Amino acid sequence: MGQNISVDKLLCKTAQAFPNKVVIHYENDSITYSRLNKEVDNLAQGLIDLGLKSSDKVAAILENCPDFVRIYFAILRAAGTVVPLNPLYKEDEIQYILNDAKIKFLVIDRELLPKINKIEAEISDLKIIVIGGTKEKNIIPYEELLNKEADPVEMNVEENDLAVCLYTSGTSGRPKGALLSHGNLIFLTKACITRMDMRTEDHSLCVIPLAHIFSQLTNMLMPISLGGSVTILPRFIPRAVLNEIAAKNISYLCAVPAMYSALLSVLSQAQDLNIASLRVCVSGGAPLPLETSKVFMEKYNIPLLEGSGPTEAVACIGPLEANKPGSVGPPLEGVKVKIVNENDQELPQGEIGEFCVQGPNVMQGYLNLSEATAEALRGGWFHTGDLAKIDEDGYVYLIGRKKDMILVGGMNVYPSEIEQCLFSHPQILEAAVIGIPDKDRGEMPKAFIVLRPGSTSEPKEFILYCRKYLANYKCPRQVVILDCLPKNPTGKVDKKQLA
Amino acid sequence: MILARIKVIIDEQFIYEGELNEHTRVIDDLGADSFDIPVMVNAIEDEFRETISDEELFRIRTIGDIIEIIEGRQKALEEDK
Repeated sequence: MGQNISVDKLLCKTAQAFPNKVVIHYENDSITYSRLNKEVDNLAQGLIDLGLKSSDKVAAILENCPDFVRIYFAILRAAGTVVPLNPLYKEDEIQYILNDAKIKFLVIDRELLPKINKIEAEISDLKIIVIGGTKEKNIIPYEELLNKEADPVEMNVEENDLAVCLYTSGTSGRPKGALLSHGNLIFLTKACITRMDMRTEDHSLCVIPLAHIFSQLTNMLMPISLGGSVTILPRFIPRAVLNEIAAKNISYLCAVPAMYSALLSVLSQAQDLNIASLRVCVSGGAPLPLETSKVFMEKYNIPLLEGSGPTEAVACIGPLEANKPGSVGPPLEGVKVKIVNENDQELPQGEIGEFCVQGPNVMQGYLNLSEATAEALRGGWFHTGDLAKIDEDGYVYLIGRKKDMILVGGMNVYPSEIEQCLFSHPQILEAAVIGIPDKDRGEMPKAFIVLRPGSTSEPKEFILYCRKYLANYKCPRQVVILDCLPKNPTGKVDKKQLA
Repeated sequence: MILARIKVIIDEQFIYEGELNEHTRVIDDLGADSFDIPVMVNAIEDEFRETISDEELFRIRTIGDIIEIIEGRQKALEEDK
């Protein structure tokens, strides 16, 4: 029998310690710890009354809003597993995940309902809980669960029980569900608080999607476990972010590099915006340009730390007191890292190879993918697919990627997923996708295609075609039609020639 | 008139299907991501010489929402006169 430990206990403890403190600011609403904790009980009991059993997976398709936090903790309190889906996903992507994870409950915002029109009919036993009021048949109004008074909910949850299933883009073309336990999340929450020096008095600003592990940790689990406050913005709009920092005295900001660049761009034109309340900024999701962290430090005297963490194993974050720009920092306390060559042999310090991670931060595996799990976790180490080196002080420097992947505004996009989508178009004979530099997003996908004989379509048609099936950020922004794709001697597309 | 001026901006930035109208959705129909929206809004503010508030920005879902904001501004300006 393991230890009875659940992520939602983080909230219970702070709700007792700081009942009247505001935990979430959103638009004109301010939610206290005691109110949030009570609403989580109501929702957890509501889910149990609807038939939720321990370990059942509950999908949530929500933009950043307080209901994401409520339902996340409620699912965990009811001993379920949270499957947050990016609200930018298209119907095809959502349907794949709902089927793959055998989802029984789906929590969705009313505005996003059109995304699941077809799915509703195809998954007959799916219980759909809708936020925002609706009287449609077969729909459960979320507000009924939220407002129905319940006693505190106590379920037996153990450290190794699954807490979240986070879908990440997959090299095979379909997303993979990375499984993280309650123990994984609690370890990461505590280790990141220590490393990132987050404090009870900190006020965080949530601008990155809560469906992502980086946002769940930095904007939800860490502040809530400390008794901190978070202001949630529904979207990233640079000027609104800067106004909010000044208005709310935001002290903690976590974002992706492209967002920091966008903030600097607005700041350079608007001298009246005051960001002096920021104590710490953390960047993740993509390599941070040295120039960006330099400007933050030299012009605004705000440390901009960099972290590295694939969803499967958040591993490193630069320490506040001894940050080395260009490095993602040393591993978190309790996490081991190493660099290996093609034969999985450990390389000496300073040499470049694949970055591997071991420790309580590493996922339990991929849902329904035993082979992919065994491959990723071979030898007891998670193989990140990143190429890196480690210096004499144990700081990790990410050099590149072993896997063919594009980072679009901090989101992982595998070219194979786009290529598969393009291949399904009846006029396309061959397709290859690469990442090209983009000033706003870091990188963006560009597709090269060869049409079947007799086809006459314009590139625009293929961009619109991808948009039907893939989230907007994954869709190629440029499509080039070629007579043939360059190949290497083995007949494989030579993407270097396309770059 | 407002739609025609917005259309010029949208056509420069996005690829979309069909005719642009007030029902066109910024994310679903234009394919915008979070980095496109500030660029679009800046161009619209420059074109109409108006500032769109943060609250209004977060409420924009369709081209009709943008038209409504601009129309509201123009009406208020006329009333002030």
